[in-house]
Amino acid sequence: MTKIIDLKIKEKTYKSKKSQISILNNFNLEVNVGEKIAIIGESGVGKSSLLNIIGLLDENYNGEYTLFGVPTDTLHTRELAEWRNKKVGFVLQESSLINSLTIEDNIKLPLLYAGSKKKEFKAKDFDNIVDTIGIKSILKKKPLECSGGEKARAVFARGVIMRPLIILADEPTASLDVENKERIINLLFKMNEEFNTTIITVTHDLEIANRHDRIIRLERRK
Amino acid sequence: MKIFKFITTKIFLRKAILGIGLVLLLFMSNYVTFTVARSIISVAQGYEETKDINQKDTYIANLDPNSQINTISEDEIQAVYDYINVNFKYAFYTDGFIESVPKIDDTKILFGYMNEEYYNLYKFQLSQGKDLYFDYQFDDEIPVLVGEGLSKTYPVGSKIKIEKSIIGQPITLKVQGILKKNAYHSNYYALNSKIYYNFSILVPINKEFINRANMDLKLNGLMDLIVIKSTRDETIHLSNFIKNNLGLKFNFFSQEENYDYFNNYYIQSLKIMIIITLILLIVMTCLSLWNALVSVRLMLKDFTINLLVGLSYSKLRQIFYSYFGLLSFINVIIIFIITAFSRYGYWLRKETNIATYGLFGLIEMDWLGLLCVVILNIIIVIIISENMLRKIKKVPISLGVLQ
Amino acid sequence: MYLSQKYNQTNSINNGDFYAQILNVKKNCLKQRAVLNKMSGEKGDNMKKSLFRIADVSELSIAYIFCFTINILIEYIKTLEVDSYILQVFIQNFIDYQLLIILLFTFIVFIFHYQMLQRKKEEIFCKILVGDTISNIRIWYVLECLIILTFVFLLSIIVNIYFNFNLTNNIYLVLVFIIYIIVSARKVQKHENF
Repeated sequence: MTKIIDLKIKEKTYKSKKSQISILNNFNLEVNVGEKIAIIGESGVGKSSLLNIIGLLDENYNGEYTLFGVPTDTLHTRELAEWRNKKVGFVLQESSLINSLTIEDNIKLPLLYAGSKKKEFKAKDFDNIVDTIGIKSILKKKPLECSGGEKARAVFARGVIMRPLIILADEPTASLDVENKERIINLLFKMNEEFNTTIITVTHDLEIANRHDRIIRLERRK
Repeated sequence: MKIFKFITTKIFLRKAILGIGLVLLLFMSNYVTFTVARSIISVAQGYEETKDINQKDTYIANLDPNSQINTISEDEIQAVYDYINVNFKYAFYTDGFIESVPKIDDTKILFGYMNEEYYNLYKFQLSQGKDLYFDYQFDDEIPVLVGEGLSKTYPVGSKIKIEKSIIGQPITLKVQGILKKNAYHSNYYALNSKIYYNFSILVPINKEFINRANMDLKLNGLMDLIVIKSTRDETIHLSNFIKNNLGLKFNFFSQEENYDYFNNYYIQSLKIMIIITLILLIVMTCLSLWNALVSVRLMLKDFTINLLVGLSYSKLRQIFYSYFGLLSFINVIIIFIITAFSRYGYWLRKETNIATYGLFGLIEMDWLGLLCVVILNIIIVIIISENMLRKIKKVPISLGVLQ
Repeated sequence: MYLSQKYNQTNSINNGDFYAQILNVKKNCLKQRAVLNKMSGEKGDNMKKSLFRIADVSELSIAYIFCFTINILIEYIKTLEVDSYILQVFIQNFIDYQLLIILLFTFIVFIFHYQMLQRKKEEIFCKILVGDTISNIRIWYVLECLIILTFVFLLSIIVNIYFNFNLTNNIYLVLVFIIYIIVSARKVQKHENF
């Protein structure tokens, strides 16, 4: 199995005016291609921070991170942006849509920055994704006109449209009903089955966590 | 280009009020800069012009501001000229005389009169024709220079018959040369105030002409008289003579006094103008910056999501420069249009002393003023773009921001 | 009980538990508020009615002061006796276009109102959620803006009277600012999705 993520964090520090908070102390993570990993833990323990680091959104930590065999500290910010566009997909809560754009424009947003890869992307690929996810009827609507479930699926579509190698899902089902929750998780796992996409999910839901290959529980240092 | 178009239409123009606010602020700062730059350039041009005239042993006349012009008789003023003719060498120039000429019905033409000494001091540049000569006969044709605007109606060699001339008899003028486009004359005591000769006729005069001329020419000629190769004592005598005959006090300023006057008067004024302008520009730049940072506050989520899906900071920087560069370019165009309309307005209102030729009527000082505006805009765009980017970078594009 | 029954009857995804949650929150908040009111025995509540924070008050005050100051400066310039022709021409530009200049500068106040209301949408929503009304919020907003404006206006009047300047442009400024307040009050609204 090919190792896709090799992360060794000594410490991640958040500084405020009065205090300093240290999380993810001596945290190591190795992830292979095609693995499904769930990250659980109580609030404030560093789950989202971990996802920020894995997703190349946060470089301010003490540690080493090798992604796809490349040390990330050797990458220029432009390269980081390119990787975020093509190799990493984010599935977040539904509030991460741009309200002034239609659902279709929101989903196609990564294509704008895709460069040469955009040329490979065909209209039928988009239709396939939209049909699979079941959001064809809302493409011309704005996020504010859609329900929570529809928005969650739109966020999912945006996260997968570039067929990323890794999907990072940060509590994607947090405010959804049972039916939509199931729908999103199934779509995630379908990506893993069909394209061997590595899935890393942050969740509070133990039932969802149990369906992953591995569960990583983050705890506060005592 | 597509990314720029997307960000401009879907993010910036969604909050169009902020864009409009920035355009207004830029407009005010551009307009002030343009106006001041033109004033400075105009003063510099006027100063260059006076340098030809303001030479050693040259004294320029100036009516004392406290003098009152009472009734003056022809004899009195002629006596002054007789005295000047005998004792001094002088350069004579006066303009502002508006007359009608044949073939040009709807426009009054500006006449300027100068003697040979003035003509030699201030070398008019010609686009066509030959230099003037001053030893003409009155019943013969008087050689004149005409402005570019009259060159089609009165080309070199053509004749202009003036029935009611300044010497009280009909005269025939012959076009000897065409003045260069936008040839001008600056007011010695208001260097940024200019008369353009595009619709003027410059008439060479001699002593006999002055003798025959009416009171207006003689009196106006005295106001700007330039005494050449003289001394302080001689000019004091002349001043006293004029006082005794006309009841008017004339001061004669030497080259050094004129330079001191320029330094004290113009340089000081320009310094004050520049300081006021700089303060205004700083204030407006700060307001523009505040406007831009307000935009960041309101658009942060949109920028963050774009950064999340692949927009890089360097690309974002390019977009900011392009967008604000576009806004500043719009302002430059607005200033250009206003200036062009203003210049065109002179033509429409037939203000022949300030109508100019140029691309869309704009002359050298206008283009230089626009250049200053462009430089200012570049500075403002850099300040705004870098600060906006700095503010966005301060907020980590982490998932936490979006949630 | 009624709310959950209503939820079960609804099959459409559009009316999922989302609205139910919001209604629940509101109901709870109103209950709490009623309890609080009963306990305190007062008609009023402990909520802070103002949309303005200290920073917002400062920003708006500075914007108003700036506009009135520009007017005062131009009035002052009118009183100056300037010998220099160049300076006279330069200053005359400001005097001739005084009203236009100060009206252009008032746009920063307009921008302030606009951006403040954009930022406050969430706060407005939260206030409505816990029992406030749009009209109440609007009235408070207008009152606060008018108070700040009145204060700055009086200050400006005092300065103008002290220096014996013309008050006409001050009146124009106040009218323009009142128009901005009224126009922006109409824009006091919560997030569109609720």
